[in-house]
Amino acid sequence: MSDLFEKRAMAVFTKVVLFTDTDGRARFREEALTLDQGSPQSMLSALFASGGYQLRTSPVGFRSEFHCSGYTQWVFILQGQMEIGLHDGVSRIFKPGEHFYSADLLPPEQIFDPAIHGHWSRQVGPDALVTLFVRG
Amino acid sequence: MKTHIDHLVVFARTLELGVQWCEATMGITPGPGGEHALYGTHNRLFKIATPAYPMAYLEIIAINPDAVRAVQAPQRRWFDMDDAALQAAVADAPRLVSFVVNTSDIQAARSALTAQGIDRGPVLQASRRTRRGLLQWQITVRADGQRLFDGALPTLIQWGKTDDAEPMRLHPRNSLPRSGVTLQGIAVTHPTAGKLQAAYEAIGLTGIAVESGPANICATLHTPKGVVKLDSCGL
Repeated sequence: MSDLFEKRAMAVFTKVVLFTDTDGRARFREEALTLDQGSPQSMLSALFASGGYQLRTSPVGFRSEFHCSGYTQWVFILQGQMEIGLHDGVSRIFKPGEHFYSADLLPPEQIFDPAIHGHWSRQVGPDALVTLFVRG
Repeated sequence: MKTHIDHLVVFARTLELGVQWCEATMGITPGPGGEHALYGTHNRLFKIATPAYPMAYLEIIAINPDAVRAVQAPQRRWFDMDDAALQAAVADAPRLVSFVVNTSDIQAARSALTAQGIDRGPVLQASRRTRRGLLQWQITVRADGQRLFDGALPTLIQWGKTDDAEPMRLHPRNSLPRSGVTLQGIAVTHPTAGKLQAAYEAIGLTGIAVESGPANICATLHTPKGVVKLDSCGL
C-alpha cells in the first residue's frame, strides 16, 4: 500500500473511486485525500463517518453479473485478487493491500439496465478472495 | 518465417478522447504518432514492450477529421473503422478492436492464410515521415476494411522496404520511451477457435491462448494504475 502515498510529503492518499458517470456508466477515477492531521510520524486524514463494516470471502471461480453497489463503500482486498470490469471493456485487478471506493450506484429513478449500468466482479488467481467492506 | 506481436489497436472516436481515455485508464499520456494519408486516420503511440513481447506498442487510432482523402483512396478504412456498429460502440469509450503482428515475410504469411481459406487482403505499401526518417512498411488490408474473426485474426505487417537490410531500424518501438505500461499477455476466445488457432499456427504466431467462447480479445497490461485488462467484447 506504500505506493499509494506520495513519498515527498507523505501527505496524500490516492483513493480509487468506482463511480457512476453522468451517462449512467461506471468508470474509475482517482482522488487525492490529504493526510493533514496527526503528526509527521503519523499523518492522518480527516475522520470520516462510516456505517459499519463487513468481511466477505468468495471462492475461486466466483464471478458476478453486472450490478450496481447497494451502498457507497470502501472495498479493501485482504487476500486473493478481485477484478472489476466495466461496460467499456476495461477492467482492473486489485491485489491484497489495494482498494477501491465503490460509488457505482443506480441513478435515482432509473431501472437497472445491464447493458448500461453497473460493473461486474470476479475472483482472480489461485487464492479465495477475502475483502473488507466499510460503508461510508 | 518469424511472427511477433507488433501492436494493439485501440479505436477512439477522436484522438483527443483517446488520449483522455488513456490517461484515465492507464495513468499515462501516449506519445506522438502520425497521420495515414491513404486512410484519413491518425494515431498516438506508446511502448508496452517486455522481453516476451519485445516489439510491442499500443496504437490509439482515430479518423482524422482534417484529412483530405485522395480520389484513389480506398472506400473503406482499415480495422473496420467505417463500420457503423463499431463506430457506435466507440462513441462511448475507446475500445481494443484488433492487433497487428509483424512478420519477416508478409507474402509468405499472407499465402499461408490463403491456404487456410482466409483472405487477409492484398499487401499495401505504406509510409509516413518521422523525425528519424521515412518510416515504411507493408501491411495487409482488405478492400472492405474488415478485420476478420471479430478482430482476433491479426493484420500482417512487415516493416521497412522489401530489400531493407535493417527493416526494424525505424520501428516505432525504437523511438518510443518507456511508458510505464507493459504487455503481460493476450488471450483470445472465439466461437471458431479451432480455425483461428490453425490460422495463428499457419503464420507462426505463438504465445496467444485461444479458447472457444464468445468473441473477445483480452490484453493484460501492467500500468501505473495497477493491472488493467482491455477486452474487445466481440466488437
